Amino acid sequence: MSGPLNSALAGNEPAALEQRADYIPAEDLIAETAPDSELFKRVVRALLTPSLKTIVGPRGCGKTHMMRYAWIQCQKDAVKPFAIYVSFNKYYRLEPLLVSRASPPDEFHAWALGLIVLATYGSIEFQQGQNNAVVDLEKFSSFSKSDLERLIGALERNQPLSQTELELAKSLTISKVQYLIDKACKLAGRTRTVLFLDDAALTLTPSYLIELLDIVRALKTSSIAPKASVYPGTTEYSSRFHTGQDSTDVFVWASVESPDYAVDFDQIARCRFPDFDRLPSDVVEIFRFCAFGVPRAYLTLIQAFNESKARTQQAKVNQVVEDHLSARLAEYRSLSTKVPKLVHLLAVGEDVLHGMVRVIKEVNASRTDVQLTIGIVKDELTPIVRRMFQLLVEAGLVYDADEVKHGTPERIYQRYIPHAAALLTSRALTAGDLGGSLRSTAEAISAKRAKHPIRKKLEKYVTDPSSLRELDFALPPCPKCGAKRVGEVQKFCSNCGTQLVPVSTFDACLSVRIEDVPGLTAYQLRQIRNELPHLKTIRDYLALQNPVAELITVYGFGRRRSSRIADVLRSFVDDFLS
Amino acid sequence: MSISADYSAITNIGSLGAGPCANTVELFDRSYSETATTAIDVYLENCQAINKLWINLDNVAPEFSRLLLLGYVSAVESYFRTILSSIIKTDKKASADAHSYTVPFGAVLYQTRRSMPEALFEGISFASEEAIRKALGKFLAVERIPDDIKSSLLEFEKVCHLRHCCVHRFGKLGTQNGIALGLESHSRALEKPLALGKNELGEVASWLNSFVKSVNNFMFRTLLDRSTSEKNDYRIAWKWMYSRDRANFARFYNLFSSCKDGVPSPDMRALYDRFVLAKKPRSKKSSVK
Repeated sequence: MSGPLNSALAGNEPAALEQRADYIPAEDLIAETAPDSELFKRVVRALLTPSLKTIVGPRGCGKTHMMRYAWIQCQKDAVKPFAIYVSFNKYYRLEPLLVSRASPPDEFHAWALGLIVLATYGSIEFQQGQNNAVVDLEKFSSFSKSDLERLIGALERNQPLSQTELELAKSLTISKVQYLIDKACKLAGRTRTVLFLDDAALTLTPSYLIELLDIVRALKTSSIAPKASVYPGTTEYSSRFHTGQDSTDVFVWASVESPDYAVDFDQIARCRFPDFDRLPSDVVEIFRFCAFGVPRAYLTLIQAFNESKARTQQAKVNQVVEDHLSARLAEYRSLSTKVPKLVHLLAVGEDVLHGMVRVIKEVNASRTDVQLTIGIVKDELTPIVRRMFQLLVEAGLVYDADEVKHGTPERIYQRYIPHAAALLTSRALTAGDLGGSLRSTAEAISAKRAKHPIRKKLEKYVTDPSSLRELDFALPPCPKCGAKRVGEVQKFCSNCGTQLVPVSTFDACLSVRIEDVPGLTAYQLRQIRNELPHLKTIRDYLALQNPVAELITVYGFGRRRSSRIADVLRSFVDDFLS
Repeated sequence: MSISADYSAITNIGSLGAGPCANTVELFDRSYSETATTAIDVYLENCQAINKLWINLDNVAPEFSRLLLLGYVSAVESYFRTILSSIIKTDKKASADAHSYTVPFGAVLYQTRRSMPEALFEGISFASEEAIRKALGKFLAVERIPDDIKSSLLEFEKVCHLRHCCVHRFGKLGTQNGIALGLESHSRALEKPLALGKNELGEVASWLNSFVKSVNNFMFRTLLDRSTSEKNDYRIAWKWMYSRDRANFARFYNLFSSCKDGVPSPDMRALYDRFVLAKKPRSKKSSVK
């Protein structure tokens, strides 16, 4: 997985493929977009409607890209609504407040609304010749841009708020923000607003998610239509937010089995790689399948293939696909450092993923058509098992192919497709074919599909059936006496009576030492150690009000080197917490 | 069968004897000495002891839960007494601010110099939002209580009303407490007893723990913030070097830190470093680069 970290390391090298759409400059984003695909048109259309929508898809499937694309389109076209784009991707920085402040929801509330106000200013600013408009808006709303930036900075750095910051935080109310948005909309000469709220899944802090969904719902008016991007299943966590009633879901994840898939994806690749059509067709077929509905994965695979030093095409493809799978798995596993209580669910989930691949391979060994889909009887999906699958779906490792009814008596099956890269590395489609040549793999990918999913008991997909029965959250023992916890909502240790509070997992990131952050040179580290002895960990770095100003005081660090170091550290944090 | 001539003997008394309080001194554990050193640790230990009384029971009877609630609020009151008096003993400004307050004559005669500040709180009960709010203003010169603390104080006030019912009315909701909690919604509960189940009791106890810790953090922050403030005549001349600031920082750290909590306080050096990063005046960077 490269992402912002690698691109920060590579400097501004034009060939570097930026993976997160948040970091792509607006012009490049437009140039890299293939706007004619059916899925894309459908989603962008939904983004521009005047109703509340939740944009649903796993990590990396293009939600941010589509939102930013729609935002730019709105900026340029006076007939379209006024658009505001906000990303909540830094929400995890507020996580420590959950265990150290009296009322974290209020602070989260101020943070979220503050970001929306700043983004409103941003949209107005983007339109040329509107610079005075922001000043007018600031006067109108009494929300000064610099004050808001300071407030948000203080919250993200977990600093105690000053009196004026507290007052500002308190004055940020839903109705004031709505009022401001309507005013800005009018200034921009539009009749209504679409509000893109990106990275609104907040999966690691469910209590903030509930707050955010409340804000999303409350912001909706006849002239303001919020659109929130979430992961599959995210909104289930909030009992106050009802999909269907409060909002409608728009699914962004393209199925590898959909009829438009090949055309849509090749268009995307053509935008980015001018010589795309010269790639061998078998390779294209394999990579398109392997991308598993994630456009950026497709681009990365092709890029990696072009850069591969392996000798044969076959070896290149194998290497690229294997690397892709291990990067996906590593990302999935990294969730357990962020949310330690999920560790069992993640481990059993990974076992299930491999188990599905194993069973598919067995089945394909004795068929002429190709089988990809597993059907699990709905009764077997207990809440905890469902959560386990949800994590796999969220990470993009398993595709949720909806429910289907089968058999007499009729039973409901939930269908899943395991990640294509996992199927390919195990040669699960071409089980009879020992060599697994590019040709035969590509043929299997485009072969006729089996009509019905594989229907087996859930326990057939795990190495040890008891692991499913014992599936549970991994709750840490009492930190004081080591006694085991009895339940997830337990308030006090049953042995010593100590209050059991959640420990901030954000601390894991904050405690990383500066010298362990990849990408800093030995010289830079030595200078930091000598001249900024207080700057030891990421925590110290985030506490700095102006990191570049601090770094520039070091002998030998000019403005450029200082901002480069700050970039590396910032990207590390963003990567860790995204 | 003999019939008593006493027409007032409506109940059978048993033996009243000399009374259980003939020697109240004996009733106090005079050998006791505090094992915990900070107010927050004393509070946490007290709560942990109460927790152990019921945490392993399948059900908690309402009579028992009402007594437990008294215990928890009493622990909170005791915390405020201890922390405020130790602040007055430690912080120069707090001590100077307290000069004009009066203590009972008996306290002057019999309290030791170290325990004198406790006598300042003799007439105060900290089982109300108002008392804590006033004490924060009086002894810590907090002019404006931040909203998060303010709203949790209001929540604490509700707990105090529940406690009041338990102390004086065997748990039944009286009109005064009903008015404070909102009579319109509570009218149906008037003269009905408080019946905290195991879960509800756990919620209250856990909330009180978090409440006290958040006020503890707030007071720590208040003292540190004002130690750097130009407006404070007793501000501390911080040197921004651990070796030289250590003694001053330790005085505050040792007032508020906890080693008895599930997650103990970060060590002093770590907090000092955070304090420096946030509060050290930034040297003007020479623009010649």
